[in-house]
Amino acid sequence: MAQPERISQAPVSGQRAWPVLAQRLLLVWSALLLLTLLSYYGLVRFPERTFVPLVLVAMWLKGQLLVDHFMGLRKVRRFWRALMALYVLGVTVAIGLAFLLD
Amino acid sequence: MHTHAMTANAIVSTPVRREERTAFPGERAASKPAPSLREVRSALPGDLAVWIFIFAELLVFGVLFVAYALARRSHVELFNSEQALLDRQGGLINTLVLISSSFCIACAGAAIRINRVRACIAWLCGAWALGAIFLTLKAMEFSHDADIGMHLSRNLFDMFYLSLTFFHFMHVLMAMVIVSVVIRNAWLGRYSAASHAGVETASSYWHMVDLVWIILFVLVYVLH
Repeated sequence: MAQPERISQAPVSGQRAWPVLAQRLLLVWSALLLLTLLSYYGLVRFPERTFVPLVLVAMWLKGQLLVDHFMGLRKVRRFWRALMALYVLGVTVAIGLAFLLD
Repeated sequence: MHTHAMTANAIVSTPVRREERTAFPGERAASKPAPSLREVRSALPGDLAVWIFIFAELLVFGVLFVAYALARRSHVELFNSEQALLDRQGGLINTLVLISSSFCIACAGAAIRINRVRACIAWLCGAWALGAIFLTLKAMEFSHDADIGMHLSRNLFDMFYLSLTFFHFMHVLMAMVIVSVVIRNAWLGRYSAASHAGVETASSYWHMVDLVWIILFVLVYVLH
């Protein structure tokens, strides 16, 4: 008895990859929004010098998240990622020193 | 006639990968082979030329950020009093808008990497619209700043604030022009999973503009 022809139901790689990609990007986006709101309301409501380092750490973290996940430098040669990480860290430290050192 | 028959036969018999098939009008599969995993992991996304431009731009902004922070050390009272005049909530909304636009651009890149051309166009249009919202809000803020008498030569804070934010404003405008071109090219079917350097180039530039704003927002609007 002849078997009916089977039609492959396996999803193409893109269909499988999309939810994973979208979920990761959604997480990074949520983290960026949360860090922005926390640093804004933290410093506006509590204008103390102790919050400046926390806001700067939040800024550095946001920059690094953007570089790694949105720009996609997490997957490129280490040199380029390090160059960008050095920029974000360097600017953060320079601003921090200018604000905190008397 | 014979030539037409041969061409049609060649098109029909050419094997096309399932991922490359799409009903999108005008779309054509790219003839370039997909890059190897090693190539993907080592290369910067997009054109190298745009990365040289990005690093140069970041250097300029970095110098301006440090100059602002150092200038503030000598004029703390002035910077704090002038900063209090700024529309901080407007700055916050603009930050949320620009971060969301970056999310849209990142999703556009992820979509084209799996050959979802229509989704890529939709995300690019979303980013473009958020960029337009950013520019509109910023233009309204500039108008408010002018109303309260802010101008470049009034004091050191105004000079830094207006120069930095206007310089950034022009970069967002430039990014929107680039994304417009990419949307048009995507609509014409010039990008696919195997060939999408244009999307990555525009995406990298857009993220650079967002990165600059993330630092600018904290420096000018938040820290005091």
